[in-house]
Amino acid sequence: MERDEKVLLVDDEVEFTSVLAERMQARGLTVDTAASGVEALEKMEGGSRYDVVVLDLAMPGMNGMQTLERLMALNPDMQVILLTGHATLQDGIRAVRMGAREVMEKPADLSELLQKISEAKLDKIMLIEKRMEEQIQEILNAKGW
Amino acid sequence: MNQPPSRSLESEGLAFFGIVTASISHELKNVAAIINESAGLLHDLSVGAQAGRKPLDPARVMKLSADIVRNVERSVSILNRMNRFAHSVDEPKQTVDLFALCRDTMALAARAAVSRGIELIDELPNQTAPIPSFPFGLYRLLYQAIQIAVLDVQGKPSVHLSATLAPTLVRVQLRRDGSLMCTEEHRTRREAIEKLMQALGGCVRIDENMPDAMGVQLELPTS
Repeated sequence: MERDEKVLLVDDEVEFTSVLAERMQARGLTVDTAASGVEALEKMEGGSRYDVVVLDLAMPGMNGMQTLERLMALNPDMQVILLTGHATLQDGIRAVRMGAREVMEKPADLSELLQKISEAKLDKIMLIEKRMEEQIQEILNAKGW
Repeated sequence: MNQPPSRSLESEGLAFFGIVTASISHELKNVAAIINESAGLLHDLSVGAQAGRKPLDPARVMKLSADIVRNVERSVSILNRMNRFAHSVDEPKQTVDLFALCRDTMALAARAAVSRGIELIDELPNQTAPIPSFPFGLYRLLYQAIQIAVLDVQGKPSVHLSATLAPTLVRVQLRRDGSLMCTEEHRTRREAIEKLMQALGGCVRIDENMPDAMGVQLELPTS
């Protein structure tokens, strides 16, 4: 299957993100990495666009929940998958309420992660299309057509 | 330090045991994830070479193997720490190297601190500090002291742990920049520290009224 997802991996375990990124790139994904929540936000605010953000929870400086909150404020359509060794059930529920679509535990199966990334991108496209349709409908309604 | 910890301290200790073992299991998951991906990449490279797409680069393979070995060593270090912590309940009172126990507790508390965006900095002396005490109680005391030091940090997010060894006592100090907001959690932890210190026969001072910093000072007898 031809893949073209753009993914941002956010984790302070740089060794983990570099190897995971290499494995994903070998499968056709475009992958960028950030070692902290602050770096992730800087990349997004600097204009980098991603289909999916894969985010760790426990990170120095700005933790995963804080990063998630800021990411969702920046782009409410952003598809975020939490990939962490530190999640509790409560963390998972809270993250989903804050807008994360999935919570996965480390170590994760790569094919399962790729499947979830693929689904996330499709959902994002559908969300954007739905929003565009709503905008077109609003314009048509305003013009009385 | 004449009485072993009371029954209520022991029941509270069970909750502490749960927190620490959960934290250790999370740490191990992180290491397992690195080993998992490194082994996966070795597999990917081998499959690619077997299919004739790209020859195996020996230097790359050796680096990945070394990464796996290093992370296995990291996991063994975490397991050894877990083992020392688990055995701290075996004998109520024994001779403990307080500085080594401080370092273990820092490692156990590090991820929880990181979750709050705070780094723990080891400034402990490079020597041993043998004291007769209750190791499990000491773990709890030091963990609580670290937790109170990482509450509501403003400013530079780091907590410094240092200590001095005198003939009759050991003084352990935690210091951080950023003043302390007096919250319910702070009051609860403060009470826990005072109760534990009473059982351990030492004394505690929490400096929380400094304008831009806060400190916790723990004094424990050496005999």
